[in-house]
Amino acid sequence: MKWQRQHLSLPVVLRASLAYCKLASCLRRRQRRPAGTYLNLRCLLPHTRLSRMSPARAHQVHTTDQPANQWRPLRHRWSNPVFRWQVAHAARLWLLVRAAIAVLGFFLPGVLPDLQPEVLPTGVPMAVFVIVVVVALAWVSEIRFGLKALHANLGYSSPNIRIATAIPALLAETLLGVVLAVRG
Amino acid sequence: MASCSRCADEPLGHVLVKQYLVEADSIVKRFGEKLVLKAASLRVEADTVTALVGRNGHGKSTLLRIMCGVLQPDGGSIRLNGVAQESVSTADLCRRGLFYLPDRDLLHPHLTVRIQIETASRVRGTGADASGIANLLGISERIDVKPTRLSGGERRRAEFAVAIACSPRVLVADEPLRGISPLDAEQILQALRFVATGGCSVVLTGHEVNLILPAADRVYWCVAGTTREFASPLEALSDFAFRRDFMASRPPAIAR
Repeated sequence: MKWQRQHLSLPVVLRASLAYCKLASCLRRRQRRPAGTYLNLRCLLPHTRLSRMSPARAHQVHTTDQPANQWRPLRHRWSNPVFRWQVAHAARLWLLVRAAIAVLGFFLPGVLPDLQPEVLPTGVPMAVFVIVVVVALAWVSEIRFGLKALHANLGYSSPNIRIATAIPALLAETLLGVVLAVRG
Repeated sequence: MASCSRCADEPLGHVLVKQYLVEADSIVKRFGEKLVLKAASLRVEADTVTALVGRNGHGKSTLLRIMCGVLQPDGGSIRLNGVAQESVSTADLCRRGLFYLPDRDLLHPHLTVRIQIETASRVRGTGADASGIANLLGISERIDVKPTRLSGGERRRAEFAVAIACSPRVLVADEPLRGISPLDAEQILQALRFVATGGCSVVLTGHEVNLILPAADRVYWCVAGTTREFASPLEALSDFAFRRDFMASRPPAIAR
């Protein structure tokens, strides 16, 4: 109770709210953190890593660990249109592959060993097959559109991009499997 | 001369070793039986424009690709800030502040130029103004179209706009002036000088010696898989063999 009285007084709560609002609005606008936000939080949140540092070291961490010209992938990966396009393209490819399988299953049953006369064959081997085809097609598109240099210049290595393109297919296959299982 | 942080506490009389941002030393590369690079070297100093000139097939682009991590060398070493690198990828180098502008298209065909400039600026956290950069390169009216609708010169300038938005420490451009008009080339070179004065080292290749040399601080001549270094464009032009290679042909006698 004594600790609460000391640390959760009205001015402290107000300052914490203000710092949180500043940080949230800054992140929302995709800008850099305003100068001093960390230091404010350091005063307000006594049990963080920054609080255990000397003020000089905390300032150094704040100012030098995040220089202006630094690659910051985690904040920008999903807000990056290049990355988003790649993932959307992979989703389109998944639809294309599934449509092709449906057409094969409907009109030419038994063309592929796994393709019995069902339109939406599921199961782990089929899901793996679809995901591998989608990633391969996305890779072909990356080469065809000459995107490798752009991805590299934005700091994304090719394996990273391939993992990202597998995500929509993986999610869609899982969802499809669950829906079909529920429907019996 | 670049400062050496490790030597900051050394006593007086300690010799400061010149440190380069990127250094490709005695690079060897063969494709199958063909030895493309025998012992090629290239050193990039801070805040300079380095021109790598040479005739077709003498290994300019290969040397640049090795320096940027696109290809791995068969021999020689790559050093970044004086530290030898075993094997580096382009993405890794780009995260450290390098920008590689290949000779082919760099831009995404399905996104507008503005989106791509803004994306580059956001990923690097430079806060660069897309309109300002487009103005600098003379493509402000074409910034909201997709690259497939741009002419060759406009597309090349748009690629430079993306590179400038990243505000790299080292900008490596492979044949940036190939196939574009002299006016567009002039604009690109002006922009390159501008970024070089702003703390970015530029490396560019090409055959357009009369355009490239006035913009360069240092010149490397790539010949038969090796390189020869000139301290200045004037030194290069005063070399007989260099002149013979590039300036032998007389200008066409159009006005008689």
